[in-house]
Amino acid sequence: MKTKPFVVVACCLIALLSHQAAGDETTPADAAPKITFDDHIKPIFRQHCFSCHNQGEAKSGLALDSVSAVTAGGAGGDVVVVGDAEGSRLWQLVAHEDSPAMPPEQEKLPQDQIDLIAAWIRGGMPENADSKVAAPKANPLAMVSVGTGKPEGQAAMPQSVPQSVAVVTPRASAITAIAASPWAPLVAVAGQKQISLYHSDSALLLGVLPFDEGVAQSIRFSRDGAFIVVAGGEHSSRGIAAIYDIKTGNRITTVGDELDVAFDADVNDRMTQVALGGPQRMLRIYDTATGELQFDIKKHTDWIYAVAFSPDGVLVASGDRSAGLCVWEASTGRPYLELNEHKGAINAIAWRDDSNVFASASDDGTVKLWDVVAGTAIKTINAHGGGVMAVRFDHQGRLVTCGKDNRAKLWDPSGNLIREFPPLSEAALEVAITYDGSRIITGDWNGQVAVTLTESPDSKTLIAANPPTAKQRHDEVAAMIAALVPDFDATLASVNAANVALAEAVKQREKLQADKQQQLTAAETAKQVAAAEIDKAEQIKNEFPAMVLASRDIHDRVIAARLQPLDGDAAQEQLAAIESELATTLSSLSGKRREQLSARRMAAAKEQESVQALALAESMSPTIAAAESAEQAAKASVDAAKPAHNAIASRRSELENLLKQLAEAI
Amino acid sequence: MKPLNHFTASALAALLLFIAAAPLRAVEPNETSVAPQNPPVIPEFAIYPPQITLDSARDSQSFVATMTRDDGVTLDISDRVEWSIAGNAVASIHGMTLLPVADGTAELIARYNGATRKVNVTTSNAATRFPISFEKDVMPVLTRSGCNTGSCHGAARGKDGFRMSLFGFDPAGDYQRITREIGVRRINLAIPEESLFLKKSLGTVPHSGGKRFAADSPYHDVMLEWLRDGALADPADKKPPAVASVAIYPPQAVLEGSGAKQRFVAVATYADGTTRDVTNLAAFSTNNPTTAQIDDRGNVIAGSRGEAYVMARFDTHTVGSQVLVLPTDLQYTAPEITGNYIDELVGKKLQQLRLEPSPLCSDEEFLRRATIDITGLLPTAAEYAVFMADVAADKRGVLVDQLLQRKEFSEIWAMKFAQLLMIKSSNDVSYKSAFLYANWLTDQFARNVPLDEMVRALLGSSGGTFTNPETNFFEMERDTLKTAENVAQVFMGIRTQCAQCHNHPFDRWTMNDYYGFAAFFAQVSRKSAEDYREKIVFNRFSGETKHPVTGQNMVPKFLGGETPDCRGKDRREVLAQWLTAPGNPYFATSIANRVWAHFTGVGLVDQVDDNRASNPSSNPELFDTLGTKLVEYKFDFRRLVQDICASQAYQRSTATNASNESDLRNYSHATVRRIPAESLLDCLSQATGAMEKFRGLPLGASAVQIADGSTSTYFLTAFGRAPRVTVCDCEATTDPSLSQALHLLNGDSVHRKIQQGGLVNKLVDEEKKSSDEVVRAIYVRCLSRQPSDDELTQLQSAIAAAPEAKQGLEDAFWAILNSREFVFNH
Repeated sequence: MKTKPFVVVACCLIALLSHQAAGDETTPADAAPKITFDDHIKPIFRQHCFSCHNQGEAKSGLALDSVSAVTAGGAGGDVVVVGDAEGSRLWQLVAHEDSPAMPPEQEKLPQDQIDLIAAWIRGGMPENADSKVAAPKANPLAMVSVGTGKPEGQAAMPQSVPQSVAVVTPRASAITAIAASPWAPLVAVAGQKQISLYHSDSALLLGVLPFDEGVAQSIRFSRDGAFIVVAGGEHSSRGIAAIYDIKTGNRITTVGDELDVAFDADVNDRMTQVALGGPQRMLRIYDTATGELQFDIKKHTDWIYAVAFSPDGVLVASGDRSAGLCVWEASTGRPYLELNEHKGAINAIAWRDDSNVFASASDDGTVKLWDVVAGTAIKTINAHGGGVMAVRFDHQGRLVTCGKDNRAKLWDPSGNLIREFPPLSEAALEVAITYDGSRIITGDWNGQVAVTLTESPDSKTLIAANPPTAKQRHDEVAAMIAALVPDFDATLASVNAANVALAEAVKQREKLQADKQQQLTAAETAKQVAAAEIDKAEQIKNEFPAMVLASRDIHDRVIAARLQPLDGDAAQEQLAAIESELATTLSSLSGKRREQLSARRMAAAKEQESVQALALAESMSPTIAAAESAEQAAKASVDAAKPAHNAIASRRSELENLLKQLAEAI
Repeated sequence: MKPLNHFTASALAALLLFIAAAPLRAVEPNETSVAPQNPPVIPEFAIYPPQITLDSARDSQSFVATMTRDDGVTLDISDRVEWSIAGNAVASIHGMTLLPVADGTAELIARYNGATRKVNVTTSNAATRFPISFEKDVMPVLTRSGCNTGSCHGAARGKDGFRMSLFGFDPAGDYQRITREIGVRRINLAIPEESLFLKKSLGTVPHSGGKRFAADSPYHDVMLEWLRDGALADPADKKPPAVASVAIYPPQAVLEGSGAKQRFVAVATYADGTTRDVTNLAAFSTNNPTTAQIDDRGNVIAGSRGEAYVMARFDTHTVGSQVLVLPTDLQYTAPEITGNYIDELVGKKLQQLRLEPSPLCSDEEFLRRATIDITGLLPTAAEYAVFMADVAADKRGVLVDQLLQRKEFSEIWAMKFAQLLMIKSSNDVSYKSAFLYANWLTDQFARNVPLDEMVRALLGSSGGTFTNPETNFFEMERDTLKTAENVAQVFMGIRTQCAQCHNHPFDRWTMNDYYGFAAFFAQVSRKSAEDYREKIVFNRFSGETKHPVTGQNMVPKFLGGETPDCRGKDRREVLAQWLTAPGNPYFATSIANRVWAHFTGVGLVDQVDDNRASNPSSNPELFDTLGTKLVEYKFDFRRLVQDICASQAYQRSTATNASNESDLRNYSHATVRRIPAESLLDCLSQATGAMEKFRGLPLGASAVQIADGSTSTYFLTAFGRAPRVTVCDCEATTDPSLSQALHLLNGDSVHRKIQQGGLVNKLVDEEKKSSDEVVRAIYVRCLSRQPSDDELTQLQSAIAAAPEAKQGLEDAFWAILNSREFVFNH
């Protein structure tokens, strides 16, 4: 009776769905002929499946003799996801992508039949030619955008990390742990009693963190990339988790005291809790500040292989060697989900940035993506035959995985294969992807660690999990610097030469410009002089009427005086005075007149001069333009020479800085 | 001073000589006392192994010298022998071990008391240290160190998270698990010494199994070198050769007195002809630790008197060497061996063990013993009278011949085989099938069909289970693997069950053998017949057996034999032909041993269906001879029974003497045996004259005739009737239990039968016998003998005390039926 409400709800849902379906029905009329249950699928099922999965017998609660029965699923839940063949259990089992392979104890179905089933599921599972096709479900893999935890400013890179190498071995052992900083070109690789930090772009060893407790079995970066948490120790003897500061290489804290090694540990977003697990089968959560054990969770029945906090710090997922997979509330230590769908050991767990989805990698060869809100597996990726050893997300929600088939693979956020990387020399045990998704770092059983460009899988730069001594590296770095010197010098010389050429060009251009300016100035001056002379002439000209009037007046007075009796000397004197006054006035007038003339002439001359100077200046412009473009060219060659040199210079200074640190470490 | 000095020196020299000679005498004190008439002039001694090859710079070979005294006692004289190398200096002696120096041949010379023995030494690759091989070098260390035993990592689920194949049956899987299963844990190739795998073995980290070997042991060296070389697997195209055989030397040791020692050397020979000293790699064990203990270096220390086999297991091979321990100062005169070929072989063994056989039993005892053994019934009063009156010298043989002609003989053997073939109705097998099958079987024995012919008919049978009842063989057990197991156990006396999941730990059988053998039955198929109760068994000429480790189809391979060409043939017929061929080493001996065990109470190989290297026959020659005879008799086993019953070994008294009282397996005296459940009930019915009724059989039919294993009575169940659930011979038990005693005393069987049979009434009322005569008649009926005067007197007084004479006689009858003498065959 209890199921009745569900039945009602289910009916409503179906009604709703079919209603909706009627709305956005798609008719692939132009596409291939419609694959229908009655015409294509039923004969296949009849031949291979009905003997067990009919509505009378219904093995495992599953019947396949009607579309509604197929949709209803079996005891284990849905067997089909409409529109997603690869995601449908039915297809996975008949295609032998998952176990138990169906039909049991028999040959796999012919490929064309499997393809038909896939096409039918993709096509919406119509019953017959008249059936409406339901709209596909929303993709639960769509990533929810949330805060990423990206630090403000520059992401942490090693600055004063120790350089001395505690243990030097001729070869590396199987790679136990690799991690890439979420925000910087930085990779951490576990080795014997140490963790090597490499620049992921240059593959340069930036420092070595000592890990005296033994071998690190896991490395995880804090959310902001400023710290790493390292789990490990000595097998069958001791296990701990330690947190290191990336910039200084200082160990911040150490928690845990396992009687066997710790296989994995993680720190939460606020760096307040560390969760740790190992062969002792206890999931332990410590307070980072005090080192106290907060929760001691007994649930796993086998060795815990993987422990990871959700990026928001709310949940912790843990997986064990007997396929046990649990999710816990980090703040209370209470169980939140128990996800028992894997069939082999859980080797690794990774969370997506949005904390809604995490991936588990298992010895059963699959990676499963889990929706922690719904508590269900939303995708099963058949990633690596023989077992998946590691899985990581990048910021775009893409997945990188590696496994016992010796390969690493890149998957899109929906779990579709983007590319397969060339096989490694042995089982691929560890994989990481850099902050920008541009490189993956793989580690294999032979101890080989390689950095590969995501976009060109054949590229490969090896980095050593067993770094050589500081002395050796010192010599190597010195040699690298020495190797840089010719280039450095050459680029410097070319920069200098370009600079000289530029200075010359500038000088040339400036001289031309100055000459032109000089002409322009001369023209201006002449022009001004001319104007002044004209003004002067005008001014003088303006004086003429008054002066003429005055001279006439004086002349009149002369005439008048002459007409007057010249009685006496006085009169004479007076006349003479007047006459001389007239003469003075006239000569002054004539002088003015001449002055005016000369001013006019002067003005004309100056104007001429100005025009000439302007013309000269104008004639100089093309030369200047040429000089200017020459200067541009010189400048460009300087700009061209500089970056090359700067790159070398900065590398050299980096190397020299490293060399200094190494010299100190020796 | 000088003469004095000289004197002292020679005196000291003489003293030294004396002291030097003293241990020799001390160890051989009996040389003169045991065989004074024939002191050994030149000691009889041998050195082992008989041939030494050293095949690489790593190789070495330990050796041992054993002297055999005239009285057969052997002494380990390795450290008293003067060892040297003659010829080229290709090897050097270090203690009791030979190490290679250069390539070539030489001789290892042993000189002792004037006698010289030589062993050829061949060395090759003396300067070559071949890389450590995982399968050839590392696996033996793991096995030797006990890592892969069933209680440790060899358990089905492993131990503490680490699993290995039991006793290393799956080297490739073990390699995978050690190196790759958890690639980051067990080995550390950067620092091999840090490998958990090594640290656990050395006990430097906590290890449930503790320390397995020391850091300065050769085992550690092998493991470390392998790890240093990169923990490589053996290349697929250059697998090391398989172990072809293993030998343990000396082949026999006769130790005198508790505490006597003998060192053993184990040598493995590989398929490519190279040899290897596996004394420090084999697992040594003993089947009788109270007689001989063996340590992990092959040193045997004698315990109490007796016989033991010390065994060396290496790879899938187990080999044994017989160790006899005799008391010191034993006075023994070997009795003259008389009788037939059986007695010859039994007698030889008894001489070896210094045992004196018991005398022959009386005619009364023989009559009862042979009649019960051959017919499952008691001799009647008439038979008793005839036999006792007979004065012919060969009357025992004549009796046996007569008994063998009776139908009860075939019925007993039909019943025994019905047990082994698990004839029983069930939900799957109809009563009719079971009934027809049992009748077919009884008919086979009644017509004296040779056993080989019968087995061929069984194994190759096809057709309906009603029309061809022998096809029920494939209906009683339908599982292919179990069918193969059953065939091996019933017709070859070999238990292969272990090898289903792993190589047999104490025998030579590997999983390859197991699944190769099972493949003979992979094509048996069944379908329903018209009658729903009937099935039709047929060969469908398709179907394979898969090896569970490799997943590959197995080619049919005879157990311990070759791979026949089965194409187009019914594989079962091919197998049946091989099985019953005269040269087959298992079939005839196994059947003969079953017959032997029926008459003597204990098989030469005991249990009769557990013939394996680590459970050797107590008399291998006799074991083989009985088989040969059965073949010679064309599988007419009545003739074998004649031989057995004619032998003194069978006819001995159950009474023991001082030397043979502890002997249980060498037939120095007869064994007292509880009469098997069915026969006991039949004897009881016969003695009382009261008949039984069983399902499907007429009133008065014997319990031996019961066809269907699911038919039983409380009596039969209580007395250990085989439930026919498995083919094991051990299912039918004669172990005593309280319920048996209580049932005879208080249950209705005895009392009811006395009443029902009315024997006393008949004797008293009809035959008018006196009570004395009645008691005598009862004694003859039940015990095949006359009562002693003492018994007679006591019984008479008891009968006289009874309120009524007949009741007193019935009580006496009851008492006799409840006596141990009645229940046992002696």
